[in-house]
Amino acid sequence: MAEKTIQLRVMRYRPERSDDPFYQVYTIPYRDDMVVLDALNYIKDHVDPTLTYRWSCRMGICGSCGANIEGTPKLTCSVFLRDLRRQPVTIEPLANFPILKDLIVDIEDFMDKLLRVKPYIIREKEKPLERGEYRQTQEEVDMFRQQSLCINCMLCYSACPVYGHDDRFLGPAASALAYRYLQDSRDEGGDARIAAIASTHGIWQCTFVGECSVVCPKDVDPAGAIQQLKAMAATKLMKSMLLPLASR
Amino acid sequence: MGAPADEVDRITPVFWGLFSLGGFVVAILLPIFIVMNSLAYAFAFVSADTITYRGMLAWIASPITKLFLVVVVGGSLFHAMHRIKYILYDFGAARHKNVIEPLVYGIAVVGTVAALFLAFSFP
Amino acid sequence: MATETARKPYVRHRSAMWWTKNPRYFLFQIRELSAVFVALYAFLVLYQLWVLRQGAESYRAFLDLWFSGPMVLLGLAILGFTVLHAVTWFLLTPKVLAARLARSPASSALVFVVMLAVWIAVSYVVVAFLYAPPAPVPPGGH
Repeated sequence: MAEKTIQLRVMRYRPERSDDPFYQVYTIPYRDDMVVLDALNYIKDHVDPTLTYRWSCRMGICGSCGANIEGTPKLTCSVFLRDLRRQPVTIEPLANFPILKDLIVDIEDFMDKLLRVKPYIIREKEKPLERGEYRQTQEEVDMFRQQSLCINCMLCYSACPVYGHDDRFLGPAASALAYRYLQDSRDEGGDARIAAIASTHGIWQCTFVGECSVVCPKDVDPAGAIQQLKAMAATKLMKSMLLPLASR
Repeated sequence: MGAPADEVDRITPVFWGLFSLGGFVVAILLPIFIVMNSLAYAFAFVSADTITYRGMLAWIASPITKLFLVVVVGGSLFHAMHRIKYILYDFGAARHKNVIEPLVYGIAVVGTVAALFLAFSFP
Repeated sequence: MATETARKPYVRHRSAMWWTKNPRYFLFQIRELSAVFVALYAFLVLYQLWVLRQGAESYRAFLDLWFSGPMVLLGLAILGFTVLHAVTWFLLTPKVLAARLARSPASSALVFVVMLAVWIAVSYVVVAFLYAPPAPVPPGGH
């Protein structure tokens, strides 16, 4: 009985071999329960060991395996082959990032941006250990819970046409991360953080395309977070302009 | 690679606020205004009296109407010019922001002031 | 043994036709384009007011243009874009008002319906009060 097969068209890039990326088509056995990552692993294990790509948990929580599948940024571990309409299935490195090799993209810019928003609790004075934990009500946690679920998979940056056009843009995940800390009742670093995001290449470059929230595998809604940040930053500016003597 | 810290943008937030207010004006007030001002007569929803010279003078005599016109024109311009700025930036014009920002927001300001003068110039 | 492979990151540039790649990008672009038509109408109204100031003769000539076929078509197009703006604006309102409003489809839908109701109500008020049929002018009156 003939085995079912599937064709994948994978973008390769070998800087030591050529200046430009090229596509390679692989035909592999197909099972109904395969995800794209399974296919890539099959290729690497049985067909072409040189194929290079990132992956880890294979269950949609580590954020390592992002790739452009049929033009849309997705986690390769979370896309079933049976749900893909077209053959061959085109797999490319995450859009809007420089390609280092095959499906591996340069994530340094993303890492820089995460750090820029000071992603840690900032307090004027730390509570001494003996005084116990910082306690929060359910409502207080709900204020930032959604944005705390980000797995740093960078699909949102691939979806964002603003970032695609100008990589100085802070971008969805970093902005959502800033929002996550600004909304955390334990945090007292509001001013420093807002200064970091309310710059020319911060949230003001966002034009609310909204695709970032569409592709987010964890429903973080960075688009919503950015609009909230715009309102917060604008309000803060108005207050400081209209009530310059009011102490913060 | 550490990029130098960006300067805090104090201009855009102001105009984003006006863009937001204008967005509500455009969404809620502009459609019915377009219907009444440009279409209703053409589709015989209103009589000729509404749109003739004397009809318009009578209409614009009310201070409420004058205010309405200023809000609709001003809101439309502050909303639209902010968006148009980003359309231009998307075409790569962001390096000319020192020219574009005064231009687009200047148009909004001048247009709003013009609406104010024109509307309130009628008795 | 292996010599280090020289890093040569390959940068792909965003295509100029990026907005044709999926329906949401396309809708976004049309939505932004609506701003051009909104600005256009504002300029047209300013022109209209300016002509009104020039007197009866000028305004009569202006009316021939204002209600000509092409202008009415333009008006319909502008109206179309404005309505598109309104609908997309109301859909986005929950996200700007408060993050928690956007979190559930139910509350997002509620905000949308409320905005729609406000839109209809205000439109009615505009027609009923701003465009109320003029009261008969008393002789010598204003």
